[in-house]
Amino acid sequence: MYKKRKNPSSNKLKEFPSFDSFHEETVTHDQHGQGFRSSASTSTKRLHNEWSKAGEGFAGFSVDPEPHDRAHSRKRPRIGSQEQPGACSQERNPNTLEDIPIEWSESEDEAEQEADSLSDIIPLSPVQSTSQEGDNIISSSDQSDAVLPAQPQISQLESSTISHHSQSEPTPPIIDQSGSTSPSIIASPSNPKSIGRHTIPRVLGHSRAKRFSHIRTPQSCAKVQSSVIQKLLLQKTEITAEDAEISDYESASSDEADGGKAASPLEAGTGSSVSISTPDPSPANPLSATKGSPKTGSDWLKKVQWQVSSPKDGDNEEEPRGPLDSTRKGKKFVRGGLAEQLQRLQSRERASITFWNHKVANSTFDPSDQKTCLLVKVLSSCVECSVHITKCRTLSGHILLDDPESPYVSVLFNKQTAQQLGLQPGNTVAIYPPWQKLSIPGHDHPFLLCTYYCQTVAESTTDSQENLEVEQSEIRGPAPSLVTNLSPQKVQSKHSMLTSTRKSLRPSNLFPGTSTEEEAGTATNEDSTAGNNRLYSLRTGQERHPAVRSFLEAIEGLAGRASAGLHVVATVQRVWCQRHQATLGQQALLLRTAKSQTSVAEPTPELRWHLLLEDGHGVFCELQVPTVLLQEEGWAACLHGGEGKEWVFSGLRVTQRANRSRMPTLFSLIDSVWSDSTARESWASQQDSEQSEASVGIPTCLPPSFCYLVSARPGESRVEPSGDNLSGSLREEREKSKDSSSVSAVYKSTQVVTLAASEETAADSARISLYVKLRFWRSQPSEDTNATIETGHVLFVWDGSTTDSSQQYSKVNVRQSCVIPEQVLNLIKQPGVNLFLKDILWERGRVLTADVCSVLHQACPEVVGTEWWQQVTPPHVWNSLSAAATPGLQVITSTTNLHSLVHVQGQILSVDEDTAFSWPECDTCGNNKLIEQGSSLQCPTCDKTVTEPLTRMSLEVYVDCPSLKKSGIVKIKLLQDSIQQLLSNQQADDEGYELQAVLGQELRSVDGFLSSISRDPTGERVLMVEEIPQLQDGKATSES
Amino acid sequence: MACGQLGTVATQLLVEVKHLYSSNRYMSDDLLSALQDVFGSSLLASLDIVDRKGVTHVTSPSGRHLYLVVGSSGKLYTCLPSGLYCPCSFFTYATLMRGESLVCKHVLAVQLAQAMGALQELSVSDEELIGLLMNKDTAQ
Repeated sequence: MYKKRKNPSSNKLKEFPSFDSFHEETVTHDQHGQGFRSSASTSTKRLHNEWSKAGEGFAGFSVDPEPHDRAHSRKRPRIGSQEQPGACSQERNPNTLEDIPIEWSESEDEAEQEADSLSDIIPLSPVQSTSQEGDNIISSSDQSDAVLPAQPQISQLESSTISHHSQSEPTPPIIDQSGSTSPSIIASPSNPKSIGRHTIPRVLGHSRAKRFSHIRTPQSCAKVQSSVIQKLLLQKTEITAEDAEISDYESASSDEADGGKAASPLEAGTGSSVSISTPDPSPANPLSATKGSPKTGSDWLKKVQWQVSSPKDGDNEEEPRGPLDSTRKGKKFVRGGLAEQLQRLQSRERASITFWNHKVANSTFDPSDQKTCLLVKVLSSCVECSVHITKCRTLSGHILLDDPESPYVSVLFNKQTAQQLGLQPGNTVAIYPPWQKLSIPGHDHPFLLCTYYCQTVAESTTDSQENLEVEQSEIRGPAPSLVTNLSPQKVQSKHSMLTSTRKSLRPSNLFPGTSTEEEAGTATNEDSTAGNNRLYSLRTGQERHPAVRSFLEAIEGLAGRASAGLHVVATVQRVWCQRHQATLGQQALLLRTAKSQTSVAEPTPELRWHLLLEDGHGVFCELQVPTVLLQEEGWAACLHGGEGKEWVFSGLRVTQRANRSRMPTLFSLIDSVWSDSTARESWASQQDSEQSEASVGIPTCLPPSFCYLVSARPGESRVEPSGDNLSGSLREEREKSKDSSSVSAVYKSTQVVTLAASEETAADSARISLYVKLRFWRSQPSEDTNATIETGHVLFVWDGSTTDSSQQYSKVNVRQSCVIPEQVLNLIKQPGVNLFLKDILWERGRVLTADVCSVLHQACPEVVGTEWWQQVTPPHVWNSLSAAATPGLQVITSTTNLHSLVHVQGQILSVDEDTAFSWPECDTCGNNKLIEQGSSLQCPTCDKTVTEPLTRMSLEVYVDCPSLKKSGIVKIKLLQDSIQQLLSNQQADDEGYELQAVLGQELRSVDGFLSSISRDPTGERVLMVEEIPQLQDGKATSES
Repeated sequence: MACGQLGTVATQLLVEVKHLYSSNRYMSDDLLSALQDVFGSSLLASLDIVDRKGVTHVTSPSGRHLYLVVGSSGKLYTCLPSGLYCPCSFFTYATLMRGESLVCKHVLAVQLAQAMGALQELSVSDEELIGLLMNKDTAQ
């Protein structure tokens, strides 16, 4: 953070310019064809007014700004193709004003900009620069420039000017907070031709060094000015590229040394804001600058105007240029990057500090706060790099430091805080949490950082006795010194040196129904830890406050400091895996950055675990867990076998709040697990049997309408089974009930139904689970219009419950978003496998859908492994699935729907010869690209000679089905087994099989999938059918 | 990092960053907040540089090494490992002349990238490194 001050350089005019010269100047420029925006005549008239006024020697502020304003806007030349909207001429203003030091309190952006613009300065020598082409572009700009007039009328002037301006030039208003570039246009009346040259070297050569000098100025001016600054700062606009390349002009004295060319007085007066450009190198204005800064309201207005109307070259406007980009309001940081994290953090802190300042603005220290804040007496203070480092002695609240060994503490105050406090040695300061404590090895006392919430304590309000005690202890204690104490008295290196306090708000008054037993249980604990403040170690991520049983309470408890993370007890209702949606965006981003940078970033994890959590009050949270956390024992247990149990989560981050319209899928799942409050109430009454009904959870009559999305982070978030961490009474209760291993009362298991029963569901949509036998599996056909976007699978399943002969199977659409475990994915390629489809979506009149929240398990009669997706199938379900014989499919007819399973029988009419071929395949690996070496075949994958190659065959035949009644023919793509059966009577010769042998044969009954219907050139309907393996007694008769 | 108490604090904070980031690949808000308090406005720009993997550690067979930092305008700044110096103008004015900022964003980016293990490594020949060093001034 750094200060910016106005240049002290001499700014008073020695001589007022004559109007004539000014007028001449204008005309001259016009003649030079500098591209004035409007005719000079009106401006000269107005200028005449002003200058005559000025000649009367009145003091600056009452000058009507408008004439200036107009004159300036009109006189602004365009400078070739340069993007500088640089001013053209020098102007003299008779109104003198002492320059004012400007403290930039909100100078983060500005300092950064400064940093950036600094980096752009090319330190050329004066001589060099004068000799260069394009020197005429000089501009100066900086925040400080925008703020000139120390006059109460300014705000009025500003508004009038702006409105006026907007009439003449419809350029967007107005001022830039960070880069208020406003080089005023200055005429050089006495010597119009002298403008550019002498200023150039100064601008390019000396400017910066001068800018940093301190100036003292009258306080009265400073006040007004700072208010103007504040105002300007509030108005953020983008910084134009000009800013980046504009350098300041400040030193008037260096001018004079510069070949005896004197600066124009006003130019010096406006300090950095002067910008001059003239293609015509002419002698400098002989008027020398005097000390002081004759800045006027009109000057300042010109700058404002300049910004409003600054011409932007179209070709440069869009392109982000220069380092000033970093201060652009819309600057995009790398998504998910640390800069973004910091930016968010900054805005949170800023808001929080603003609230705090507002709160303490007119209040005095309340002695009753002594328990909750740290009271320190400032013993000494020094400033390092804008940070006030103070050595303090703690008066009270020492326990908050958790460091009883030393009564001393070094407190770092940033500039704003120090200013607000009027920080001086001897002050007593109350520091409210949160703050952060840093212990440094070798230092006997800790450092406090991030002390933004402070209040000066008047001496009278502190206990006089305490004061006395402090004075005494100061005398006998070690001498307060800022010299680093190197005694390695206390070296902590094993554990975290950085701790921070937390504000833990108790929102029970906001949510009367949410008060739980936890509150009562920890009341005593709270008292002993001095109110709500608890210490939190960053490294370990372990919070000392107990977990709460309500999401709302936990989230409210984070108010102010969201970084603490949630600490809650909740029941895992569902677990599923989901492809993280940001993956694509992140990958695109990575690709982009990879283009600019040579390095390629590591791929982002694709999958994330999602848990649906429910607290004790019917409030839901969706927890996202990165797959990397699976390596941790606690998380692995929670994800693999945690469903239905209660867990204690800590360090969770709230990322979003979702509602029904935003996330309908999630809420359809929530609806399926949400139940009315009976379970919860019974549970709550069990817990609080001795308490009144006031502590019973919120009676939940309506399904939840919102859901918090929270995420777990590696190294920060923990999970452990509930029970270890319960408060005493709760644990006893739990032990009494002896059901610690059993399922949580809140848990609602999934609704397992049969296909037949699902049709009788009362609701319009529901989440159901099915045990099914898979008949056929296929990649999603282009049934939906958006099939290109979402390609999933279609499962043709059957569970034996349907007795209707027309219902031999049901279709389940598996969306792309549904993550199928690899093992299951391999299984479903084999028809006949038994599956457990969990939480699939049933909608009235529509196909069953397995979406993002659905989970596909293999149905197993017993636990084979410990994989998360394996689930024991109830024996009777398993038996019925295994025993039931699959009904035969319906024979294909002319009315058969597309994408359905059919039975085909008929006579082969012809063979599609294009598709009739066979090829050898490696018997080991199935590789069909075998290399022929002499008489033997070589498999490149297995790297061996294939002695007994498998012969694969492809054949598509046209079949005339009697069931179609001549309304079309069936073209069926046969499977290997059927082909072999067709050709079983044939002997293959070198040319292959004889075509005639196949024709006319009766195709035995074949099951198939009707994939498309088309017409052949003769106009006959052709029904494309792909043969599927037939299921007999629950097993596929052939492999696909 | 630098002499003075603030430098001590800054050094310790970077140690914290290293501890936290090496084990967790994650930066806590608290640590960021503390860094922000000490480094001020430079931090945001530095983190952006680190996010964009803008710090490259250049080594040569001779054992010489240096850091190249990509500034926000795309310029390369050469920061030497054995000194808190950056050729950028901010460093010259705000850090050296005015003492208003502990470091510039480039040096801070190097320190952060070191602590976080986010350095891009680049091996060059001795000649190329010499070229980089000789052109150090023009890198401004």
